[in-house]
Amino acid sequence: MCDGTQRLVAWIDDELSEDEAAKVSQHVQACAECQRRVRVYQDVSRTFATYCEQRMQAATDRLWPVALAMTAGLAAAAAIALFFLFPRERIALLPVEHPLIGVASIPAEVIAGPRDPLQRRGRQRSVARPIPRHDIDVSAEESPIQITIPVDAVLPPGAAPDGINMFAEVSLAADGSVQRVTLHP
Amino acid sequence: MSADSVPVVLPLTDFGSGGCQATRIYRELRHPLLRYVIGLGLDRDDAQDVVQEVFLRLHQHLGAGGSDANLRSWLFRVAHNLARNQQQRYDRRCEAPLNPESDEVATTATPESLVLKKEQFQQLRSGIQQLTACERECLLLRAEGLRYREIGEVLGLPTSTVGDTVDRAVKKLAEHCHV
Repeated sequence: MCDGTQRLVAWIDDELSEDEAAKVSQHVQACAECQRRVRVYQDVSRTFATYCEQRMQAATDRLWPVALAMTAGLAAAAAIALFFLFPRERIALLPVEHPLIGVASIPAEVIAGPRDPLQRRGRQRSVARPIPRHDIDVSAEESPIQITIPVDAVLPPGAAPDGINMFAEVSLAADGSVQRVTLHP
Repeated sequence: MSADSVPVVLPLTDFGSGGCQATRIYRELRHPLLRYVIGLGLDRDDAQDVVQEVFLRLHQHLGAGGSDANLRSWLFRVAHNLARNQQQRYDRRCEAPLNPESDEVATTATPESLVLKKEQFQQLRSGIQQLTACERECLLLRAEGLRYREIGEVLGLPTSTVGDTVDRAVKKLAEHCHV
């Protein structure tokens, strides 16, 4: 008769010692009620993980353009200072890998869903499920993103003529990485 | 590139000896951290601010020669503490109902087999709202793949307490969601 005191959740999460896990495994094999409980706890855990993923997607569906704009803003702000060293020329920036501004250069496929809470240390307690992916469709043929930057927002007073605004054009590749940032007066 | 353009490669800040490691960690954990902080109840703007601050602190930590052991726990702990610093807004958002429009967006962005039906989603949400903050946090961190010991490091709890909390939280949700 099962007294319901088996640490089934910890067993599912592979958090028991070898001896404890062996005892629980032996019990579960022989107890229909605990087998049912295991299925329920696994189902709840997967549902919770999917819930977290859907909340994340709902919150960030509009996040990528903001992140890209911030990335371009950082690059453009640094380029403004250089522009005034070469006032007659356009400065085109080559994309450079950098972890802090590389948010736009992360391919969509590295964005994975939540780690399956049931797959730990390689033990076979769960059914493999596909990891949801975020497919971000950024066409290289779309118009470049334009960002207007007031010069006095990034340079000290008097460093640039009054009334000057800069704007940056950011062109993206299909994988979302920044291909070019072009600065114009 | 036009003929009158001058290509300029900007020298960027070096992460120092931790540069490659920090890049790898950023790529691996930016979205899990964002997902965790959104799960705590922050809106997307606050969540992004928190995650950005987390990686800035990682940069400072590694640049100052900080330990690179247990970085996953370290990152989630910093994110957790920064989110908790907005405690008042954080608590209110945990209680507030989700925007129904966001449910619609979520259901169209995910493969059909992985989409929760709206009723299932709302039932789970009401079950989550009945959890204590600690139970909710433990489940969120567990969903991101943290071990009980790591969850304990993030939340400042003994591993045994984490185990008991996770056990209780899963059973509560199971009771709430399963007929």
